[in-house]
Amino acid sequence: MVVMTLAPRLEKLSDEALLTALGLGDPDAAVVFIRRFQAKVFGVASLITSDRVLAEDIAQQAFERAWRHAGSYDGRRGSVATWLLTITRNLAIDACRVRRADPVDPEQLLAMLPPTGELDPLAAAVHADAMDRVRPALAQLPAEQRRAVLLATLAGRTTTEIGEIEGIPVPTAKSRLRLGLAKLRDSLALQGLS
Amino acid sequence: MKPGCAAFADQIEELALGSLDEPTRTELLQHAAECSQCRARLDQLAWVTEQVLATAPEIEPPAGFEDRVLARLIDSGSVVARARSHSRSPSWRWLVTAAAAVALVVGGFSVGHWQRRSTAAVTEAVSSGPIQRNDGTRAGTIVLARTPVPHVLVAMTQPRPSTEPVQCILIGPDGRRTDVGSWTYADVEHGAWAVGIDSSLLGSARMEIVDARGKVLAAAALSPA
Repeated sequence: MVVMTLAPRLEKLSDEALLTALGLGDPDAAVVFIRRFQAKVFGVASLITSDRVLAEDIAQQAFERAWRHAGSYDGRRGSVATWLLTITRNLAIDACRVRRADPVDPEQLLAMLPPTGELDPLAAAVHADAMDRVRPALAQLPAEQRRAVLLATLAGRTTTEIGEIEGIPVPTAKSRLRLGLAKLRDSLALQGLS
Repeated sequence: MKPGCAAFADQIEELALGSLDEPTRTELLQHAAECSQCRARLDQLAWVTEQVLATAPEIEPPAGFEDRVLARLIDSGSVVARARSHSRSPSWRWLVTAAAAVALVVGGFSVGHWQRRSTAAVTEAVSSGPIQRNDGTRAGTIVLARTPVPHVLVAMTQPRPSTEPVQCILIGPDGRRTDVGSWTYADVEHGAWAVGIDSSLLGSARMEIVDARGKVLAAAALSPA
């Protein structure tokens, strides 16, 4: 007779299974879900709001919204992580519509992306995947296009705000953003990712 | 190119990045719903944005963040407050309504579906069976279900207020025994206990509840639901 202990730990659940459990109101799953994504969510909220207090409120709202809309998550459209970070980004952008904090140095955004060596092995593997794909593609962009892309995506700035930060007309800001995103798209597509 | 495509192309980046106000945003999304080419371009840009977003740095939130989020979820009714958990091995519990547990026990034989307390989510049973004590009396009902995640649900009638842990063993058609977790009757809510299991265990043929000394207290044969 072989008796094996196989009770699965929540920590070993996939992101999708964990999100399902969160959506069904399981408190232990909620804790694991929060722990798994809180640093990323707070990171995005902080980048966009530049306000630690507001960032925490945004991050809390993001997890609450993740519960409310767990049933609408579609795995075919992307990972749970990007789905959650998109929710976070949209909340942060909406919160910042009225007020604008200090200008963000876009090159600092790129510098803030951590080296994978600082992460635990699983996070490093996931992060390395994104970093390995995207960071080189970003580095290949002309500097002004890279700045526009980072300000728009990671910092949630509008083209009007990008124009103000960079000291350029809005049409120029739009053009840099358009070209930068197009080149990024083509570069990632060449990697067979799209 | 359809009418509206030029205007759409002019603002597609802002739309993908979420920086457009109403009513422009809605108007452009309506165009995307009607134009597959514009929709495809929008989806591509949204995907690029998400790829860059995935590289965002991780910043640890302030101390206590996890507790504050959980409190917020509980206050909003989205998450049920934690019940006591007494388990030797790590496990997690689905909270079932008293009505559902009774329905499983009394209705016992119609265990096709049971309903969660906090949502209208419904899970479908893969197999089930009555749990019988050694003296042949009915002790409860066991259900193996696939959704929302594979799990076993044990609902006991007249649970004893005992603090002694009991073990749930699933037995496969080949006789292979798997310990899936433990509980004490004093700690389970409404006499029901549930734990997630590996999907390979959904084909289990029997279940036994054993005490700390390995004595079989009750058992069940599982039949397809």
